[in-house]
Parts: sequence; C-alpha cells; structure tokens
Amino acid sequence: MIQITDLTKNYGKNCILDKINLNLNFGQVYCLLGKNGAGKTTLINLMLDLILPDQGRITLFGKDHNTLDHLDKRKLGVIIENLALIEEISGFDFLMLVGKIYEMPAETLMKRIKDLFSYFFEEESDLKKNISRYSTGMKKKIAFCAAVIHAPNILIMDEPFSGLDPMVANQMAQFIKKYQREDRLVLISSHDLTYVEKVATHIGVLNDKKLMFNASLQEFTENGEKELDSALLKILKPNETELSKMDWI
Amino acid sequence: MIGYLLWIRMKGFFTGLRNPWKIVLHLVLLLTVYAYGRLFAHVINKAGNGEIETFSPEKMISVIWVLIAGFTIVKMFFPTYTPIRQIFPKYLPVPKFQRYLLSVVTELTTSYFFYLFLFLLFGCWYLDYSKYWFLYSCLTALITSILFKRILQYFIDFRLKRYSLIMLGITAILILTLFYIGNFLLLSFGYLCGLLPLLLFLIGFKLDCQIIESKKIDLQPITKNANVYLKLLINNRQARLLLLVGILFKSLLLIGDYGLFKGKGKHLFDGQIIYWMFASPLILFTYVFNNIWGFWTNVWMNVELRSGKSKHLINFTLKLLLLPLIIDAFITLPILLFTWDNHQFILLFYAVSLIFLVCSSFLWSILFPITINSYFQMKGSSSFVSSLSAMVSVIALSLIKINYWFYILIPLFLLFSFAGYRLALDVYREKKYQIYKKLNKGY
Repeated sequence: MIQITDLTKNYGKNCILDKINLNLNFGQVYCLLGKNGAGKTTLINLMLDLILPDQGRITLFGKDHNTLDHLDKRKLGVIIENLALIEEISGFDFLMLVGKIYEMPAETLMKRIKDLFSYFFEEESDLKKNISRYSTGMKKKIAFCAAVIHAPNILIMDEPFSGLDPMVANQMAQFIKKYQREDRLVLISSHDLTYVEKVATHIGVLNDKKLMFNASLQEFTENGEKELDSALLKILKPNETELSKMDWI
Repeated sequence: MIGYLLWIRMKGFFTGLRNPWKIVLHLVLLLTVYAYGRLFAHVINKAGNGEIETFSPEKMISVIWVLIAGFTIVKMFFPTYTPIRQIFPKYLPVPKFQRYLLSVVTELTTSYFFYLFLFLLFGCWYLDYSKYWFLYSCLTALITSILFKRILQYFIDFRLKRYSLIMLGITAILILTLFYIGNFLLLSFGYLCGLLPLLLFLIGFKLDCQIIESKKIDLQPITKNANVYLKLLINNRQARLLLLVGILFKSLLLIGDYGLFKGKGKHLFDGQIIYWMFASPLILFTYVFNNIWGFWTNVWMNVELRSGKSKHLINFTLKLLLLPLIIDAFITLPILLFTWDNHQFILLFYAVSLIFLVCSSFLWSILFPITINSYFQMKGSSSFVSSLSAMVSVIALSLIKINYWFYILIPLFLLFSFAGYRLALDVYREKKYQIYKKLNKGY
C-alpha cells in the first residue's frame, strides 16, 4: 500500500503540491485525474523516489519510499512519463534485461514475454526490432509489458493510455481489470476518462496543488448518476466566461 | 480498399526512392531481371530451333517453374524467416475474407513479385516460341508457389484446428501434381492450370478460418543476452561515433609513433608526458565513459527504478566498458611493447591507469552527469572536472618511468581506485536525484 502524508513539493518559488494526504490500499485501481501541470507526474516521481519532496512523507509497503531495497522494488512495477525504454536494443532484449534486473527465473521470464507479446503485439518481428524503430503506441505497449512482467503488487503508471489506438487501449484496460486482485494496487495517472471509467475503483483529482477529491468511483459519479467527465468538470470548473467573451469564434 | 492499399504501397515505393542507394539497387535489380529474362528466352529459342537437343522449350519452361517455386520457398527462410503479412490483425472488425484477400494482395505487391514478373515479361518479349504459354504458365507457377508458401506458413505461424491437416494433404497432392508430373498434366490441361492458384487461394482462406490462436510465438530460450551490451554500444549513435573517433585518433597517433620510431628511432612528443596520456586508455573515458549515464540515461533509469542497487549500475558499466577496452588494449599494447624496451613499465602503467580510470568513471558518472544532445557539444561529452582529474592522474602515473621511487604511486593509485569505487557506491543514493534532474531536463 501507499501512504502519503503532508507531501509538499516546490520547484523554486512555484508550489506544485501542497500538503497532499493520500492512502492507497491493495485491491484498489486508483486513477489520478487532473489538468495538465496539476502535479500528477510530480507526485508519481516523488513516490518513485526520483525527486526529493520539500516536506512530508511517503511510505510504500510500510517503508519510507527512499529506503526501499531491490527486494521491495521487485514488488513495484512502473511506467514513467518518458517510458524509460532502452532504444538501442530490441523489445525482446529489453524485456529480457528487465527480467534479469528483477532476477526472474529464465523459464518464467520466457513464458511471460511470450504471453505478453502474444497479447499486445501482432508480428513476431516486432519483438526483434530495435525499440528506436517502434511507433509511439508500440513503445507504450513494451513499457507496459516491462511494468507487469514480474507481476508486481504495486503498479504505478503515468499516462498508460495516451498515444494508443482504441483497440490497444482497450486491451490494456482489460489487462488491468484482470490484473486487479486483493493483494495488488494499481495507480494510474490519466487524462483518458473512457478507459479510466473501465478500470477505476477509486478516483483522485489533483487541482490547484491540492488533492481536491479522493473517493470511490461510485461516489465520484454519484452512484452512476453522473458521467465521469461531467463529474470531473464539476470539480475542475473550467473557465467558460473567457470563452463567451470570444465573439469572433 | 485493395485499390487504396495498392496506392499506399506504390507511394511507399516511390518515397523510398528518395534514398539514392535504393535507386541504384532497383536499377541493378532491373538490369539483372532483364539479363536473366533475355538469357532464358535465348536458351528456349535455341531449344526450339533444335540447337539444344537435350531440352525441348516445354522442358525449359518447366525448369523455370521449378526455379521460381524453389526461390519462393527458400526466400521464406533465408536470410531470415518472415511470417505471413497480415495488414489487419484478427481482433479488428474486418470481414474474414476481406482480411485474407488483403493479406494475399500484400504478398503479391512485394518487390520480389514485381521483379519476377518483370523477368517473365522480358522473357516473353524475347521468346520466339510459346510466348503466351510461357508468361501464363510461369505466372501461374509464381502465384501458386506464393500461395503454397503461405499455406506452409499457416502451420508455422499459427495454431490451427486439426481439420487443417486435411487441407495440407490436399495441397501437397496438388503441388506434387504440379511440380513432378506437372509437365504431363499442365500440358494436357492447358490453360486450365490457372485454376490451381484459385484452388490454393481457397484452401488458404479455409486455413485462415481454422486459426485457433492469433499466433504462435516461437521465442528462442535465450538465457544469456550478452550481445545486449554490444548493441548498446553500436546502436547509441553518439557513443559509437565518439568511441570511433577516439580510437581512430589514438590509432593514428600510435601508428605515427611507430613510423617515427622505425624511421628515426624517436617517439612522438619525445615520449614525454603527453605521449603517456595517449598511451593510456584515457581517451575512452574523457570521450564517453566518465559520463556513462549521460549516454545511456535509460539504462540508468531502468536499474534505478527496478532495483536501485548501485552494484547493478557498476556491473552495467563494466560490461559496457569491456569491448572498447579490449579494442584499446589490442591497438595500444603491441605498439607500445614493440617501440619501448621497458616492458615492465608499459604493462604496469597500462594496467594501473586502466583500473584507476575504470573505478573513477563510476564516481564521475554519478557526480557529474551531462546530457548528451549531439555528437560533439560545446560543453564536452564528459564533465571538465572528470576530464582534468583523469588527465592529471595519468600524467602523475607516468612519473614512474622517470624514477623507480615513483613506483610508490602504484599502491596509492590502486588505493584511490578502490576508494573511488567505494565512494561511488556510497554517494549514489544521495546523488541519484541530481542524475535524474540533470539528465531528464529534455523530457
């Protein structure tokens, strides 16, 4: 599980996150929503200990996030903003390398590469192509495969659905749904409400440096009475007065 | 849809011609098929005129069928196995027959098909006998062999229902009929032999409907992916170029030194301080390896996110360093050992400088990472501090040549190397945020 207490992050004088408190438990698929620049990626990078917080505490598996050892990291799967793909090698080599970093047994690794590849890719030659030659969607798919190949207990994904065609995004959503278990937690930051609606059990909305909303999907949509996007717009309150001023449109 | 597909493929072909090498390649292929078309037509004409007694023109044409079929089948496996081209994957809502048809059409719009077709046209043009029979029957053989190849591929690429084995049996009989007793049958069937590709096309469609799973991926059980490090070196354009330039520059200097030594018995720079900077593997480090994570940022990112162990990072560094260091040693040591008498000094200097530079590179890569945006950048490819420190250290080490007392530096350098290694392990956790901040500015 993930516990965030009074988390604050500033970039210079610019405050990005202000005293965020959040508890995520196993069994949840938690979707973090928010406008561009709301701090979703910063929050994920803080959890992954890639950047230092200015204040507050993050714990994963009951341990401070900056004290996780390699055994703890084996229980964590991630897709970060830039995907962190090693473009010089093929998709197959990359997954092999990831498996080796996680110290997975060779047979398990081969089976999982095969299964994941069969599910997400069409041609075997894709696996042998260098990642630098992949399309955006293929890159996202291979990053997803690398995030789940070791079946982690916590899966953190920054914008997993962006850049994917509807078919693949749907496949990914189905995978996440099947992946959800009582001993697993999935955290997704996404703009894509279509797929968020399909997988989320809980929703969090980041806006104006704060976590404005944090509850179950049912509460968010008021037991299904509201569409996900209208529920989100109610919280984010987009600027419509400026639009009405534009008489030239 | 087929028209649009053909248009896209044609557009793709002409777009590819922007590369002048492709134009040359296509011209060579065009000339080749022209030459072969003319040659075969010439031989058939001679056979027709009775100048070749052993072969009749019909026999020659049947040899061409076998060659076409043989090439098509061999091409499937050589140089690498290429699976069936499917434009639309199974999960897309495209009607089965349309998907199959498009897949076949794609197969018939390849360069391979195009050039074989041209070969047949050239052959037909220069033939005096059985012109149209030649074109018709050879084209039939070409399409038949492509469709037969596809049928074989269904069994390789996909898991099929048992019923499909019967299909394979029927196909085998048809193909045997064509290629072994084909002479007799085709001639007696005449132009009806064109029904054969149609039959194979329908069998192929039936097989396409028999696919149980979308595909059967046959991955090799690779337990060692040692070539990954080679790929990381070769496919990283900036690192590759800088390493090549560094090694080339060093090789030229050493060859120049060898020439000078052979000619005048002298060394470059009088064998003084600067000389030893080039004699050590320093250039590899100031060019690339003192900033290893700047070149392979995502390798660092993956190790950090997935294990976070600094030992894993050092392991990576060592594996990446191995090949360039072996090349450097192969170039440097033979020349140094040949042109200098003091072999003990040469070996000791090279080995200690190598150990020191490798260990300090772990530290510099963590302490002073630099983003690499271009092949040659004004700020350099490794930090000024690391380059200066590496140069001063190598120069200091070369002092052991001047006086035996300076041999005391060797244990000191080994100690510093170990300290550098330990420090790299210790400071990593603290400095990793800086690596992320510096190397991810662009994202």
